[in-house]
Amino acid sequence: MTVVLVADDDADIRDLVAFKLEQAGFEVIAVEDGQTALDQARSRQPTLAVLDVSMPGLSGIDVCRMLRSEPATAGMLIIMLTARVQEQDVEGGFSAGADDYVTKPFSPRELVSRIQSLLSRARA
Amino acid sequence: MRGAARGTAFVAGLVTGGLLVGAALVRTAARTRTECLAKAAEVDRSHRTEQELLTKLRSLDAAKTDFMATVSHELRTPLTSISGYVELLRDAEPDELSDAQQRMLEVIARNARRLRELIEDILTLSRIENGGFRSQPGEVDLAQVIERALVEIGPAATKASVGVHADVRGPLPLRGDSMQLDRVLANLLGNAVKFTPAEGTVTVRARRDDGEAVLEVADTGMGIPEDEQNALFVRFFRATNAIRRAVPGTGLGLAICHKIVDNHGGTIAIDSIENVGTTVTVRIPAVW
Repeated sequence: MTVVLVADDDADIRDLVAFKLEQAGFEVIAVEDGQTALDQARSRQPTLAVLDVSMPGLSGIDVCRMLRSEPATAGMLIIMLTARVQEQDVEGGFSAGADDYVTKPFSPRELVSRIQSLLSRARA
Repeated sequence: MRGAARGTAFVAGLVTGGLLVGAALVRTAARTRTECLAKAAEVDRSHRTEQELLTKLRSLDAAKTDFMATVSHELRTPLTSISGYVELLRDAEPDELSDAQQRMLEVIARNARRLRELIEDILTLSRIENGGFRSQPGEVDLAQVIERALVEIGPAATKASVGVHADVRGPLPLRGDSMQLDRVLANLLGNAVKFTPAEGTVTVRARRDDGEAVLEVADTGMGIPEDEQNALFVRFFRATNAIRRAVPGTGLGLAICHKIVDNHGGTIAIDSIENVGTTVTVRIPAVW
C-alpha cells in the first residue's frame, strides 16, 4: 500500500485529506506540525508528502527544503497546500523543490487525482 | 489618493504664488517684508503638513491592502473545510441521503462557491487597487488576450446555447499586464454570456482606432435599467433585474475591469438598453 504523509495544523483539513486519501486506498500518516512531519518522513519514508505551507515552527517550505537536502528523502514526491495564491509564494514552493502545488480551497477529489498523476508519472 | 495629490499641487502653487507676491511687496514697502516672510513660512509649513499627510495616507492605504490580502487568505482555510466536507457528503452513496438532504447540500455547495468567488474578487481588487502592476508591464497583444478569452468562454457559451461571434483585427500591441487583461476579458465575456438568454448572441469586435486599441463586447441579453447604469462600476453593485432573476455574481467584476483598464490608462464605457442588450467598449492607448 502506498504511504502518504499529510501535514496540516488545521485538524479539520487534516482529517478531510486523510479520510479522502484512505478512501482512495492510501495508507495515511497524519501530523500537525512541520517538525513531526520531518521526523515521520525520515523514519517511515512515505512515497509522497502533502505539506501545508503555513504551519507553526517549521513551515511546509522548510520541511520540503530539508527533505530535498537529505539523500534518504531527496526523491520523495511532495505536494504543497497553500492558502496563498500570489506568484511569489508558488515560486517559493517550487524553488524549495515541491513537485506540485494545490491552493485552498481545493476539492479533495482533485487533490487525489493530482496525487495519482504524480505517482503514475514517478512510476513511468 | 488622487485628491490628495491634487491638493499637494495646489499648495505648491500657493507657495510659489506667496513668494512672488512677497517679492513684489518687498520692493514697494520694506516694513511689510517681515509680514511677507512670516506668510511664506506659514504657507511652507502647511505645504510640509500636506506632504506628511500624503505619506501617512499612502502607508495607511498600503496597510489596508495588506489587511485585505491577509483576510482573504485567512478565509480560505475554513472555506476549504466547508466545501471539502460538502464534497465528501455529496460523493456518498445515493441511498445514504434523502432527496431533501441532497438539495440542502447543493445549496451549501453553491454558497461556498459564491463565497470563494467573493474572496478571490476582493483579493484581486486589493492587489490592483494601488494602480500598480504585479509584474513589470510589458508589451501585450490585446488580440491574443481576446483569442485566449474566446477559447476559455467556449464551453460556458455552448452550455448556455449562446452564439459567440468574433471580429478581431490584430495585432493590437499595448503596454500592460497580460494577466490583468486576461481578467478583464474573462469578466466581460463571462458577463455577456451569463446575462444573455439561450439562442442569443455575443459579438466581440476589436480594432485599432486613432492610437488606441478598441474592444467591444456586445450581447443580446437582459440589459441594465437606465437609472442604474451610473452605478455599474461601484463595488458590490448589482442590477435589480439581475438580482430578480437570481443571476449569480459578486458585484465586483466590473469594478475590477474598471480599475484594470484605468491602470492601463484606458477607458471603459457601457451602453445598454433593458431587454435588448448591452455593449461594453474598452479603449486602451496602443503602442506601435
